[in-house]
Amino acid sequence: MISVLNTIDTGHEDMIHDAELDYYGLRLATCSSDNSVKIYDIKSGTQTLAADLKGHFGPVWQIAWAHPKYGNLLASCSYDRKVIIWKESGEWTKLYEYTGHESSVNSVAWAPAEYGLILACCSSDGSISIITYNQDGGNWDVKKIPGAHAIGVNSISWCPAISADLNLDPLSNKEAPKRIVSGGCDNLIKIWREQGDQWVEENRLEMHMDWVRDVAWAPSLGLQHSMIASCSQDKRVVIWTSDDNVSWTPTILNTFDDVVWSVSWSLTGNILAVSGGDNKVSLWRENADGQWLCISEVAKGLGQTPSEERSTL
Amino acid sequence: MPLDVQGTFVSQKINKIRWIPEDYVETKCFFTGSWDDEVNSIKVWNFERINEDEDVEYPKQLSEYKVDGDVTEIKFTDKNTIAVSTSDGNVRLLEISSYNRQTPLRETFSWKKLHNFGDEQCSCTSLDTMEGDIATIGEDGNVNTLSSRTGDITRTITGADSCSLHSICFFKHNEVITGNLRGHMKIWDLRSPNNKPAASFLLAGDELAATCIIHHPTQPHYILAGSESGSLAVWDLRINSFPASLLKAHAAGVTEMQFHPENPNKLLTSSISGELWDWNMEAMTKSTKTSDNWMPLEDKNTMSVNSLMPPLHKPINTISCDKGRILCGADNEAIYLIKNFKY
Amino acid sequence: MNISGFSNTPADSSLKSSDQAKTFILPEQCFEKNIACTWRRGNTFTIYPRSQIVNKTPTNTIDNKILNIRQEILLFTSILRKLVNESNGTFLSLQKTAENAKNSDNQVEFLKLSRQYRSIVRVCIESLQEAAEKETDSLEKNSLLSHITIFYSIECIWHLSEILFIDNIPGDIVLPFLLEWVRFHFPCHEQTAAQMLEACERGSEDHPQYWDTVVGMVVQGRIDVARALLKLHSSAELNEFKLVDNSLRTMPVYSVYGGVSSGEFTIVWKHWQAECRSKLTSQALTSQPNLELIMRLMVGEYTAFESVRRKYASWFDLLGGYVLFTRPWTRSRELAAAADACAALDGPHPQSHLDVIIRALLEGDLHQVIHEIQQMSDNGWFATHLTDILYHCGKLQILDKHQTDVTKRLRDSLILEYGSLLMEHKSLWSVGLSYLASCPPEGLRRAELLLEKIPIETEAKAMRIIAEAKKYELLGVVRTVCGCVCARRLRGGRAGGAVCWAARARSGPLCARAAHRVLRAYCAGAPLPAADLLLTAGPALLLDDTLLFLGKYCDFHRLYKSKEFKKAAKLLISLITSKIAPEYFWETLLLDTLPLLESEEPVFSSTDTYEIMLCLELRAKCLEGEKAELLRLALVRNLARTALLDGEEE
Repeated sequence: MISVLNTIDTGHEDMIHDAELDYYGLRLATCSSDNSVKIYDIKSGTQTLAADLKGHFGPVWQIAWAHPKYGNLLASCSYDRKVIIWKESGEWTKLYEYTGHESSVNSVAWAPAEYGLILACCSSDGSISIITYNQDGGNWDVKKIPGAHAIGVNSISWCPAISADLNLDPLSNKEAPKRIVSGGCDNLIKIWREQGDQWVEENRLEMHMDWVRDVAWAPSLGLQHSMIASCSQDKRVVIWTSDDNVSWTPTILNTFDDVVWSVSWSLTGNILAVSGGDNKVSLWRENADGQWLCISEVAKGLGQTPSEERSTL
Repeated sequence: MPLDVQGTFVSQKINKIRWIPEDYVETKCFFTGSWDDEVNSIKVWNFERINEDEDVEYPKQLSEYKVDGDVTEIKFTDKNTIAVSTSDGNVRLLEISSYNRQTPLRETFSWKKLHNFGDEQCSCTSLDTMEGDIATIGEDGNVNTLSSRTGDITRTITGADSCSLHSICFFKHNEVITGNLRGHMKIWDLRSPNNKPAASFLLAGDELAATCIIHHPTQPHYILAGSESGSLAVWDLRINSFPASLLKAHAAGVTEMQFHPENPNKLLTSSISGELWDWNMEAMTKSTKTSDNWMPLEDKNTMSVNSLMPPLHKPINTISCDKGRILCGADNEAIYLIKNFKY
Repeated sequence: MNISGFSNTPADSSLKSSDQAKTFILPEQCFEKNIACTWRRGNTFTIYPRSQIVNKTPTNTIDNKILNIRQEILLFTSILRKLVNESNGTFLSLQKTAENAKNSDNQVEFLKLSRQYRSIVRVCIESLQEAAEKETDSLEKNSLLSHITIFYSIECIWHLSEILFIDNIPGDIVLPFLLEWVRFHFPCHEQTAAQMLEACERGSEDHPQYWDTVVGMVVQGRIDVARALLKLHSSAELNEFKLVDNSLRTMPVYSVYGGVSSGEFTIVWKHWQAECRSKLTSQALTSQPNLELIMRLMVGEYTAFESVRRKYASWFDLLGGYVLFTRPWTRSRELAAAADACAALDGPHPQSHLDVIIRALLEGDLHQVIHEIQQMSDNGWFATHLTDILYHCGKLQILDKHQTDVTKRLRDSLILEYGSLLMEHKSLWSVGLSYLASCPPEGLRRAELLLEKIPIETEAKAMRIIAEAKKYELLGVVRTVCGCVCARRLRGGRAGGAVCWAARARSGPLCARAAHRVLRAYCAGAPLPAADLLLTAGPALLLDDTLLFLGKYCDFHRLYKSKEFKKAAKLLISLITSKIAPEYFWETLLLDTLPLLESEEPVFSSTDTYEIMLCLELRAKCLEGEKAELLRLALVRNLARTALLDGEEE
């Protein structure tokens, strides 16, 4: 039986654009068109507003929590062209503000913690920035990929540090090159690799026929192939697989009734959640034959209450 | 009669277990304190026979006292009162009715956030009691002494350690020994007004935590310390303030040690590796008469160690013994009663 | 909704029955706009109204609610946690046995473990019954009763699986075991029979269930009981009764150790049945229809079984009796025919879930069995443990549609799911971990991802997670956990704790961070913290230069305080010349020379003084203005007196 554990009334005064749980799942951050970011403590069924972060001057699109070994850090990006990194020490304050983009910043993502404290962000100006914290100097270094996608970049995601491409001991393969996948308004998906102090385009994946809305690199168990999920305004979700992170094979997961806005992998990468304009979240998993099957759906109410909806498990 | 082991699953990881001693009748009731769950509690149990003619007794829950955080230690301050520390930094004195064990525990004193990191929560990791005095330690590195009679905090040693403290033992009326996360041990004279230890030393070179410390019941100058590595140290404070040697014992961290109340030559130890051992410590007291220092710890075989039950797959956290009956609590959410223990 | 229920295992994609996705409907009018989800630990996730466009025209309805959704896990209820923990012990023993079984046949050991599992299920049913009796809330009571039904089925299926696949039955003559199974799980009429025998009254036929009970005993193969009951009939002295009693008495019973070959037994048996049949055809029993029915059952007459079928809840009740009176020498692999015959007694009724499973078992189709038991509502407990034991017994062979053996994959995937599910629970995580660890290498990789995400409230918890991680050599987890605690200590301004956890993580960068924090705080005027730690730290200091510097600097303070100025000065010079001091610390370091330069007895040699001078000039930026002048003056003065002294010594 499924149940709604609890409902959080966020108190946002406008639409919510993203909600992210921290590393341990104990805190929830939300961001909204009301220009604010809110943080809630979730403890055994109750939640309290821990912080209301105001610093953006436009809708906040996305937020991302850093790994706790770097302390409590949250990054947010906004229509106001800024990325803000917030830090909690006693209370939440602005740690760093990045203003290197010329248009709305659409997505932020922290690199795998093994690489250090690194943040990637992408913008409607078509570029991607990689911002690295330099511990010795206590400052942030920026590298930029200009013209990554024409018209704009909608989404980015990091390749896990433990990746399938090297038969190295997963505990020590820090040597594995850093990679990022991005999706943009040019209908393309691109994979970028760090080479020396440059980021170079390693691959471009063509399949979608409209803007790519979201890309998500699956968490890796360091054993199977690498997987990337992408979704687009063409209503399709595509799963890209690779054994070496170099050549990629697409599989169409499904064609939906409406635009698909987001794809996200569960913690161990065994289930993919897809959500879009059809007001449904569907959960998918792959069977042995490489077929993707929908195992369940969460949909908007049509008169039923959740207590009536009991599925036999 | 051979040892008889009987396990009961209780749906809680048990961190502390304590018999409630009786004066004139057989001890049947005991406390448990749980940890690592959404809701933790201190429970009072009683062993009951379901069928009169059967010899098997089953523990039945008599009362439950819920707490926030994990129960980290339970120690008696008198016959019917226990001092309880929890991981939210609180310490409580709880009293059990001597007439009706089923009556809910009554809180006589409580010290809220006794250990803290300012507003942030800090675990009170352990405590020890002596003649109504209580000494507590926490992850904040502080030592507090409390009076169970008046409810006062009689002394606070702020910053007794720059690391978190994990074990404490009252070995004399005004003297305690503490052990920290790195196995750094310090001896404190509570009468001394300055916040400086009387002595300090490292338990071992491995920089692992000192997980428990006890003293010999009749010769309190003998101190035993258990390590996160599974090793055991024994030393005589009259001769050395620090242990001369370390004995490799359990395969993983020592969780609790107890001398048998009736026979101080018997020592019981439990471990993270799921082992429950009894040690014959006769050599310890004997050697004092002849040699100047006691150091037979090179080899645990000389100590004659017995395993009291087959090792569990999960850590055993706690032991309590009363005559021939030993209780232990474990991370497999079970408690075990061992009967017919020869002491 | 079936996430962990796992309706689509790798091996059973060909089976369609209940693979349909289940839809969970959110409360009405919860969201007007688009929804999206974010994952929490395990199977919990959060649904929120994700909007992609900037809202230009503010509406009255703003979606600002967020829902946390989760699947309710039966196994997390208090009673079933006992089952989870206890069976974990058996599971781990089984893995060990399987490890040893690679060298020797260990069937006996497996049987013991299988019985252990069954007794755990039995205990579980008893606790559920006890709880159901006490429960006053009708909804709760119902759910307890439904749990009891589930575990009854589990017990029944497990027992039959044990007979057919785990136990080593002598001569493979399965009948006695089958009868035992029927008697145990479908104990019809047993109590009535016992009552009647206890009362021991002639004329028991007045009891309304007298004949049903006698027939029931015959069908269950309890021949002695049936005979004893017949003796209680007031007409027991009649010839008809004696006739039936005689036939029952003389029924041959096969025993592997009886010294009779199965061929010989078959002949004797057929002879006996022929005699029974002749009694029927001679119409000797027509006056006693009940006795006639018993005799018809004894000769294995199908219509007789048909006529009693409706008196039983299921055809399983009759299975033992049917085999007993048709082919008592049936081997376990030949049971499918009997099962078909008995199931057909029902006519064209829809089959229950249990029906399907039992038939599949009797047909030896374990693939189907496992697929079916995965549909049970026990969160995979049964499927996982049964599949595992069958796999280790070597009784499981499952091929996919390409005829490749996917047995191990099926077993692993079930254990991985079950283990991951338990990892979600605040307390049961360590149990879950032990399941994941039994499926290397994927299990350990999953464990790594899940372990790191367990919230660490206390150091005790951190140490326990580390101990578990070390047990399975997940050193990455150890480092991550230490790193996270270290970061928390830094945030709280606890330098000692931070250094200690950085050292536990064996991480140079973390040590450096902690050491920098201490040094900067000292520069800002705070007292030097964690002296107790730094002065006793051993090889840990070597993890990082800054930490080493801090350690040495701490030692310098100690020497100075204990008025060992010569030694202190020597150490300070070595710190200055080693050049590992951080940039911001040079001012402090240089100023520290001042009191030593001005001590009554000179403690710096002229060479030392030159070193300090050189440093002061090279790092002019670090120390400027009045302070620099002051230091220069002191250096010159010291040089003056030491040059003289050095000269004297020469």
